[in-house]
Amino acid sequence: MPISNKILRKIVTLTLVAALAVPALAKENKPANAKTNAFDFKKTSVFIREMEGRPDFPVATVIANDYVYTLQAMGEKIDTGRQNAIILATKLAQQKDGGFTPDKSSKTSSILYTDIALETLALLDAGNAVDRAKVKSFAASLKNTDGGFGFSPEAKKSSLATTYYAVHVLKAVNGLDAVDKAKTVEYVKGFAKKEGGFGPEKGPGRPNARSTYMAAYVLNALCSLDADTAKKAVLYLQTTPYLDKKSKERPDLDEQLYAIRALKEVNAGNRVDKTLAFNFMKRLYIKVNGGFGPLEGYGSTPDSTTTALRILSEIGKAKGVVAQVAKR
Amino acid sequence: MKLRKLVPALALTAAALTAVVAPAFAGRTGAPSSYKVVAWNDLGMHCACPTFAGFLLLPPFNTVRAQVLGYGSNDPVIIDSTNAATYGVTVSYAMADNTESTLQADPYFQQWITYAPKLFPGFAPVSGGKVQGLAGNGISGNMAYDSNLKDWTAVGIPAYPLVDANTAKNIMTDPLGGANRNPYPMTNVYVKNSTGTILAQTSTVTPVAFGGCCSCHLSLASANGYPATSAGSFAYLGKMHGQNSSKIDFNYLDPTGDGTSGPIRCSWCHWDPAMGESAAPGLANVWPNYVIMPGATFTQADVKVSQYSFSDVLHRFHSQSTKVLTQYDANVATNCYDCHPGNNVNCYRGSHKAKTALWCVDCHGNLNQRTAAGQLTQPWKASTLPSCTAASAGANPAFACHATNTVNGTVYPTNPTLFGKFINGRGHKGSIKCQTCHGSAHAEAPSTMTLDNTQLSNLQGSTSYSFPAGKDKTYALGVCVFCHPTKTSTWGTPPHL
Repeated sequence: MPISNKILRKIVTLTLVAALAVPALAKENKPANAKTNAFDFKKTSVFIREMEGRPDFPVATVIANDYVYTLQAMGEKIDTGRQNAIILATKLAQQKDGGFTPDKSSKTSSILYTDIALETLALLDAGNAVDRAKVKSFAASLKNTDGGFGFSPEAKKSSLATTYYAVHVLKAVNGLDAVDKAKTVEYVKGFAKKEGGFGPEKGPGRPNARSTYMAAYVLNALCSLDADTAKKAVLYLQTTPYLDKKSKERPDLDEQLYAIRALKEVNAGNRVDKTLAFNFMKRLYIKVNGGFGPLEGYGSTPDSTTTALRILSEIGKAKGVVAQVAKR
Repeated sequence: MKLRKLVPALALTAAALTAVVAPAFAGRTGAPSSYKVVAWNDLGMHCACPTFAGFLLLPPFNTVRAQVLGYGSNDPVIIDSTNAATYGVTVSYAMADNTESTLQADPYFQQWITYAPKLFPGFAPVSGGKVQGLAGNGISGNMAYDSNLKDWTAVGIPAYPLVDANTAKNIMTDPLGGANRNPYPMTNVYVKNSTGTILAQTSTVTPVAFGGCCSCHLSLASANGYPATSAGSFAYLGKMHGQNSSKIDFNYLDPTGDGTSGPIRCSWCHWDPAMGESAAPGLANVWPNYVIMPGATFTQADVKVSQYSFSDVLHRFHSQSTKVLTQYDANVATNCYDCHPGNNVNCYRGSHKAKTALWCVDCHGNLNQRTAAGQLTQPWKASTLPSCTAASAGANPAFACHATNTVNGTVYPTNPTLFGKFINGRGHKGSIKCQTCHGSAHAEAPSTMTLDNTQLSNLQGSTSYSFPAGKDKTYALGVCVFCHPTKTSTWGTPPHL
């Protein structure tokens, strides 16, 4: 009896210690997110869920993506009925050629909406709901002789952005073998700028974070990102308002996101200025409805709110943990 | 300071609340014992450019309309130009926030003053020391009776977003980085007798804001090797324009022959009814001696009137450009605020917005639908605009519209014309304008913006009026006794036919 009492006492003690320790441990396991006082995510949720009241929910490819990403980033559940509605709508957006359209009224597929649709499905763990082989053949069909990829069967001209989307899509469906690696790498490197980083156009013009991320992603995906390119990209990025606190340039929501992603892509994620990004998000937050605007002083939209949540996710300040299935 | 502002505001409120008895008319047979006036802005929001040196999209041009009712007998008398003359009354307006001195000292408006004579030859933006709009109306003056549209109107008044002394009103972000501005200047509307005594007055919002163009175009210019300024943006736009089928890089167009390029008015070549024109005049007809500057790769044969309206080229390009979609906004076809004032300004702020998730595209269609339906080839025409009972042709509305108002084959409101259906439509005995009771389009009562609701709150603010549960004085004009002395003082839905 005394022995069993001792054992019992130890068990009780251990249980108590464990019970006390669990919340603390749980706290440690949470992403560095808890500082959400700056944002009323309940309001943000209501703002995003406004679209649930629409008879045509989920409306369109981009809007469905906004809905899924944002709610998941805030750690919210999407009910099965709505998940199914989104998956069905996304499946219906896939055309015979394998590509996806912006909405059900459109029949012209493009690589942009294909990329967005794939991300939505992946977020819902429904990547196999669509014909992935067709997706691969669609993306591959947009390949041009210059090594780049076009936007759609109608808009065939290559650009850095459309090449990025094609490579992104092909990687998602295990189709990188469809890329002519040498040609595509050469094509993408043609967008490098003297300041470091990459720009949206070849020739004169300044680099930007979006193009720098897109180029770095493609080069990485094709195992061709060299140290010098990465170093120059960081040199450029540190002149932007996303790393340079003294920059006089007005920060932009999209550019903030791509600056973070570009740094991570060139293996300089430790250079991300999380405080700067967080403070910028605070300035874009619209208290009245919980959304985020695209620029300081601008009203909120679902798209800009989603981008803000992407940024907060990237810097570990969102409540939920979103699978990094895509980086639109 | 606060009191100084409060006193006139209270006076204005009191005047709007109650029709002022007109003793001068007491002896006249049939003359109303008092008057009521309700005013509104025609569209609910106008855009104006912050710069005018490169080219012009939209000038300072705002239109205020009003209906005046003579009150006394059971049914009010609609005051038109004929009985106004009989009764000796005039209807006038005066902007409350835009003033001569602040407008003429505003650096953006000064650009308008400088370049307007080149953009609109023969037009003087300042006449006799006073600012005037393109239709000849200044910031104050008499309103004219429009016998076609059945209302009093001041067309094209030069309302412009201002840096207000009351900084709380400066909610609009300046995309060029300047001080925030007030996009909701007010206009007072008066009914006066022949001696200038105010018989009735009210006040309406005269909304005007900068669009969102600069928020993308400055970075677009920078990304292509041009300065991130409005001048750099215009220069790059000119280059891009030269790469389309027109071949015209308007950096090389010198309209006046003064040796410098620009300014260019888009509607010289692209028909734009927002400029009050039914066809594009063509540059050669506006500036016969225009010069194509050295280095141009186009000739005079290329400088011709486009078959496409301005609305068409602008909307279609942005929704179909792969550059726009992949580098700026994949959802541009539905993100109207990318271009229309969304810089903390809401074009769309009426009751529809408050009640549902209804968005611009539900009534108008998204840009792809609008293009496919051919809406943009006839911009602003009633045939392409939504009504209360149906969305625009080509739109795919997710929401049900209001029940049809068809009686004996006639669809009410009647008389839709240019900007028509709701905007210029009439209901209630065929004489009351939709906007008289419901407020401006896009800011329909009750609006989500308090300032829009001020007028109706004043008009229906009598303590003797009662409202059913869920309604209040900010709702559409619906207290019968407001117009009919012998009828109920309880708010209801008046007959729309």
